[in-house]
Amino acid sequence: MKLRMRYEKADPVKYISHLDMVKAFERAFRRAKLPLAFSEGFTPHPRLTFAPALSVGITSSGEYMDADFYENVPASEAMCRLNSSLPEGLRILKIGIFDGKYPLSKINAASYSVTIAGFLQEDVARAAKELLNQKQVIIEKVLKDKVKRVDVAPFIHCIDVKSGEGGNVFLGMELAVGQGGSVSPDMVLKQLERYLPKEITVKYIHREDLYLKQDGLIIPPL
Amino acid sequence: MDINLLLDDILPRVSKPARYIGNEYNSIHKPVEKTKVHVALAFPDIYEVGMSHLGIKILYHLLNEQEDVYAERVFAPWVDFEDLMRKKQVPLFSLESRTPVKEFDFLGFTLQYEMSYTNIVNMLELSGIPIFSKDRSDEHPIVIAGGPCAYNPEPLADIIDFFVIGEAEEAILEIIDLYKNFKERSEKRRKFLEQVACISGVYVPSLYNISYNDDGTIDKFLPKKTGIPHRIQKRIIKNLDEVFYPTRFVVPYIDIVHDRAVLEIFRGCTHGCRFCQAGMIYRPVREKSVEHLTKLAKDIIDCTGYGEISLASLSTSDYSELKKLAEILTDEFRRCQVGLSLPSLRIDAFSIQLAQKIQEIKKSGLTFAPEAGTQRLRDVINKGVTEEDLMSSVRDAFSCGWKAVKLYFMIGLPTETDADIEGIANLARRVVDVYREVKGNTSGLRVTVSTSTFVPKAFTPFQWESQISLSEIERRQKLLKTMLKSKNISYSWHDGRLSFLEAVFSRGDRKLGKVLKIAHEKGCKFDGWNDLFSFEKWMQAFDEAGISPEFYANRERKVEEVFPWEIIDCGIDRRYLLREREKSRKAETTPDCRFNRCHACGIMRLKGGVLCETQNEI
Repeated sequence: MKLRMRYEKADPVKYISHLDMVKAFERAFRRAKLPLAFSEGFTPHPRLTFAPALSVGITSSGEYMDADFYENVPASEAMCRLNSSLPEGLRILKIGIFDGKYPLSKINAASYSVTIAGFLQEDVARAAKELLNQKQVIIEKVLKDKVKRVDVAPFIHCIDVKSGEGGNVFLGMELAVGQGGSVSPDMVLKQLERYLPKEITVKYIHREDLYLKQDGLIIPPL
Repeated sequence: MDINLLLDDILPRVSKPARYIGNEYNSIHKPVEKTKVHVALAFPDIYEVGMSHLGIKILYHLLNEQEDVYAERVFAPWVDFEDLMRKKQVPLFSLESRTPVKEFDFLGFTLQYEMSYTNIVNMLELSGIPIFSKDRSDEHPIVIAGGPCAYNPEPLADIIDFFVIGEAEEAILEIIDLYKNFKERSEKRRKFLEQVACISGVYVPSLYNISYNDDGTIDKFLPKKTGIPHRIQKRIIKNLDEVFYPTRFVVPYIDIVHDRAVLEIFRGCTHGCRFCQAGMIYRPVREKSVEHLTKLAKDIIDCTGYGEISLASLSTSDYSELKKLAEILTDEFRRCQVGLSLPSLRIDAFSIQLAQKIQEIKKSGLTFAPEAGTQRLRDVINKGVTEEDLMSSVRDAFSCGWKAVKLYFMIGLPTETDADIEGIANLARRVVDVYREVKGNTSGLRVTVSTSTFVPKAFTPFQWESQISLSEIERRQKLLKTMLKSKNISYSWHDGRLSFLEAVFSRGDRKLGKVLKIAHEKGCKFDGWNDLFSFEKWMQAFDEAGISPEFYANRERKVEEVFPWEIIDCGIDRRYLLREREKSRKAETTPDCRFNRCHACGIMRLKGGVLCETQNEI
């Protein structure tokens, strides 16, 4: 039996990598005494599937995971037991049965909230507009020892600029994630800097949600 | 200054930021202002190394069981983090409450390895605490230390306020109790140190005068006051089934060196290998019962969720009910996918069967430690393993499907000649032959020969011996290298320069404190890490301090010499060590006293009525 869960990765644990977080979940399932299924073979792995990984240092309230169990467990009970066994910062927000839902690998878009300091809202809005008007946005991605040049213009869906608290500027972004290509919010900020007079001081980056975007429609995973 | 705000700025800019965030599952948080004694448990290496050490975990949970005590962890920051700390003037802080170390009542270091001493000096400096105890005042934490290297505390005598010698579970609580009274009465630090020196197992180096002979050796230790013990006897726990053992271990977020639950099954070892310090200082052998261990194991897995549990001891095979324990634990954990791992197994037919059964050792590698290449030299060091033992184990392993074998040796053992070096190469080649006999060819076989250099250690029968010179270490390594030219055999060796420094500090005296300070000023830290080790800086430091490292490393001691570490009584009789040394010269072996007669090592004399398993005292 499979269950799909939406979870948050909050402040204290935002610095742990995706792989380390997977291990933290495996241990939490064991502490919760939930009948998590494992793969066969010499080194069995827990049957957990995750949505596209979150960069280290970013918090999120819209992460997803599918967990496979060898025995049926009521969804609400699984959520309750898991939440009492998770370390601070990881928390299941919503749970549902997996049947009838698209696989997490189909997720192709993410929404982010970004807070930056030291600029006027108008200046950032103008820079965002300029960036979005570019036909091409070439960035260099370092993969192992090779440097690859990628055009990320199609991966920046929108940047919405508002004024935030305390003179900060608040940006809402929708960016592509997943196998079809992706760009991270800090890469976008680096590009935005090219249209601003000075370096950006990032106060906070938060992933709001992940979903499948098809023909302009948002289809949530859960 | 708010450490939390500064961290938000620093953490995104360093490698592995999760080393510094704390807050792991089962980590303990208490309101600092409501606790009476605040203890910083420090490990002088990075998080991944320190969090893999059992001793600090036991003390962490033991101390935090006490309602009015708060123990927190402190590790050495990696160099990138340290650079930013210095730039932003962030003092060294604890992992749990992020309190500056300087504000604690105690700062306790675990001494696992001599080459971590510069990290201790560095951590003191990062905390803003004077490096030498004489320069500290009532406002500073009391700096204490324990662990295996504390059996020769002298190189750190000017730096550490007091040492706790031996197993600390009981002593540490006595020390804390004494401190509570002292703190309530707001008495002076000096007075506390004098009082704590009367607790059994506590060594306060500043309370002793040392006089030296003209040749630089020690004449005698003299307590500065009456009532201070002339020798400090190590502490031991009588009954391991009754001693505190944690179950709610802190579960790290990041991959650490030993990322698994640890179940200590016994302490001590009676094989009597003559080079081995652990085999002497951790005596007597005391086992935990299968019933107690089974219960602990279940509780630990329930509380931590670990997917692997490892049995810890000096030599797993020596646990008298290993088979029964392994079977119970394997059955217990099968359903929840918890693996059992058995490190430091003596590889024989039995352990290979066991390994097969619990599927614990991956077939990628199996490790043997014959330590020396010829039977003669193995008899000299009393390593009770024969070539036949090794070959039959290797044969069994190859028949069961193993393809890679690691062989550990030491070079520079007392009486070693080039013939013994050749013996190492011969053994490796015979392993290849056995594989060919079993499999018909040598395809896929990998034999790794690994050598370290013998470091004479305090409280061993070899404490009088010299280490071979650095140039001789390098000559023997090269010699072995030329002998091991085979496509199935690879050779790796431990840096001889590190072994040389280890030999200096493992039998050093308190004059070395000065060298440590100068080495630190020159930037020495993380000396055990290849990329940061600078032998040149170390040699300059010895030079500037006017101290010859060869005096400590390469000098054979006279039988009657008074050693710096003999201020400590580790329970082992000097006469026994000398008898063992004499026997080593004649390549005579001494069998394990658990299965033979008592060899009068002296441990029976330890107070507390601990009984060895051997009853027939000579």
